[in-house]
Amino acid sequence: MKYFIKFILIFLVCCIPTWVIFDDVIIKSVIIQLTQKATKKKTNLASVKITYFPELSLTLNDFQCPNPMQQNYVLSAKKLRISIDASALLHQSLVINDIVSMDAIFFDTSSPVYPIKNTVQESSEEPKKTMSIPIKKLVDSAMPVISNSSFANDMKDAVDFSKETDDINAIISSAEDQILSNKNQVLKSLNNSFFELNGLNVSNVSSLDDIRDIQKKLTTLYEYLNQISNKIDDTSLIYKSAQSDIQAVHNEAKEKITSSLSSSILNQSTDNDASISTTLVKNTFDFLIQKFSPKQKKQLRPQFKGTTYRFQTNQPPKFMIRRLTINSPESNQHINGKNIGFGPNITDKMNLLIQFLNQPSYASFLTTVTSDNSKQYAIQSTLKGGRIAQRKLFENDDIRLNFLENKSVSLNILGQISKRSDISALVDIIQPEYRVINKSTNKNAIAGIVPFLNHQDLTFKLDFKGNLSAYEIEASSNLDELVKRVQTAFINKQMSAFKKEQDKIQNEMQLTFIRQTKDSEASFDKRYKKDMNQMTKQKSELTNKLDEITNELNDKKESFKNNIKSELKQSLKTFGF
Amino acid sequence: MITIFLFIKKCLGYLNSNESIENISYSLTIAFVFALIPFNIIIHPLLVIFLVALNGNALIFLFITPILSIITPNVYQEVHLVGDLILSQPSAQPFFYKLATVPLLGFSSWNNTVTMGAYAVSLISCVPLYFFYFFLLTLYRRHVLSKLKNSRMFKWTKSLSWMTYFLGKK
Repeated sequence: MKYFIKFILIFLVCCIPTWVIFDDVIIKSVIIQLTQKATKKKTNLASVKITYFPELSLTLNDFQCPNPMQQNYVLSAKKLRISIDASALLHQSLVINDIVSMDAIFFDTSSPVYPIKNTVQESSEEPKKTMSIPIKKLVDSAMPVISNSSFANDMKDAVDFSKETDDINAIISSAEDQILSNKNQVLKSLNNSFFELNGLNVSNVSSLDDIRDIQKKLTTLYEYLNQISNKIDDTSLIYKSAQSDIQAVHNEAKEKITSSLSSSILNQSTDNDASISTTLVKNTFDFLIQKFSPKQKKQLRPQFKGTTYRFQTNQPPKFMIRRLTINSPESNQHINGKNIGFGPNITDKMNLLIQFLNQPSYASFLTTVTSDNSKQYAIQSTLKGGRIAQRKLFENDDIRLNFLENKSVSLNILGQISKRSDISALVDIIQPEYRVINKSTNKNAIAGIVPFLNHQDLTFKLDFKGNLSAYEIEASSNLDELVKRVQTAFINKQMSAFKKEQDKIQNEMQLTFIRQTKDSEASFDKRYKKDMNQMTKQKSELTNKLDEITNELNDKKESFKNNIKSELKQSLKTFGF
Repeated sequence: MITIFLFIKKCLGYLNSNESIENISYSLTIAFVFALIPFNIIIHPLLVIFLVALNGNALIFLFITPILSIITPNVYQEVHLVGDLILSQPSAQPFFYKLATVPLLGFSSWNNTVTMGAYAVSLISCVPLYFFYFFLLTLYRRHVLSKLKNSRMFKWTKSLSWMTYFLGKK
């Protein structure tokens, strides 16, 4: 036992002076390690001075804590004094009596920030989420995409004329068959008629019986001629009927083109009834929560932790800052707080005032947080003259949409933070401007819409209820109304341009269809005309020939009549009449 | 396979060393307590101080503690039952309320069921465990070691001492 006590004493005698000598080096190293681990950027800390009496305090000299989100230092202070309640440390509590710095700079960009190169590669399984993803979704849903060029190409491919072409071919084929049949019949009749006609020899007529025979045959031939004429007329009617059927098919095709174009326009203009502002706010909120929520480490086998009993009724708070003073109230950056803490057993009233004026990103930012019971924190925050830097909102192969720098953003947050928070936030962006950069010669609908959005004030109202793991968001804004108004104006403008384009497409498609049936229709016409010529020519020849024979016959009849007359006169004279 | 062989060889090396049975038993007991109690900044440094102060074998302790640390979490459910039984005793509540006000004691996590159970099990079992190790080691050195030293296997392991060097382990 003697040996044991001796050992403990030697151990203490060695340890305490070692700690007192090297405490600043150890604490400095611990602060740097912890900050660098949290921010993944290099932390600057020149020296740490620790005093144990009359109170435990740390003085950080030339301390620069980097901002994990941006390339600046969240806090840069020449001297930062932190006094700690040592008795609370013995009860596993960190109670800071005072944090004071009168020369601190928040979001300091005077010196460069260096990232720490991680030896352990972070897993790259999950795709890196950026703010542009929710904005891209919003733009995709909000913009009516009526791109004339792509639309026309799509339409040309979509309308199929094979049925109409088949119909026309069927009409032509049927008409041609009928015409050919008529033609054959006509030619056959003509041949027969010519044969009959060639058999008639009027010069050899010597008696009335001969004349009567020829007359009879001629009558028959005229009947044939009438039949031939009827057949030729019938052929003409068949052709005309076929032409009118073809025209009807052409009209059908035209109707088909027009109806296809109309339905496409309707399909494009009637979609997305979901509220754009709700979508935007929800997407943005989800994105921010995913980005900033602490990542849980994967444990292969979770260890059983048991249950921890609470026996202390007046347990000191786990963490508390009794007084916080950063810079004087007259300076541009001032933070003042009292009894800032979280969790149970804080009885004192909490007050926190954050006041930033004339900052590069905004004109003024004022936040007050108060709490009576450390369970519910009332928050009131106002930002005026906020600046949104120029940023890319949307980009695709054709265009890039930029939001131009805006210095008239105001933000008002009011509500209470607790296990069931209820916060209302109102954001106004006054007269925002956008610019579209065309990357190709293709026309894009967004480029047409953006001029209507310029200088249209944006107002977003957000009501958040719940906590970060389970929350309800109600968002409203003038964005829906604005987008609808812009859509209407844009569509009206676009529709007139589109009408022209539609006519052009219609004509082109009509021509395409006509080209498909042109050859068959032309050959049909050609054949019909040739056949008609042939039939008409032969018919006229037959008519002429018949007329000629008829005339000859008439002459013959006349001469016969005269001969008979003269013979009759002579006979009568002979008989003495 | 080679690792297991080297592990057995190392174990035998410690058991067959010139270290006294008392010291080996003591180191093994401290290692068991160290592994059983979930880590806290009060008890574990104290255990190390105890080990060194009472002349324990640090090498045996360092060798056996990681192995026991893999095994002991499997009995946390049972240890939790013991701790829960103690901490929920109605008659002990005033004492626990007083204990909670003692500075620094909070760092020992005594109000956690697993830790309290581990303390209780350690307190109850440390003395029997010491004597159990003592008894086993005595038996081993008296009866097994002499036979083992004459065995062909033991000689073979001795002859393969170059293997540890070849594998980069000393």
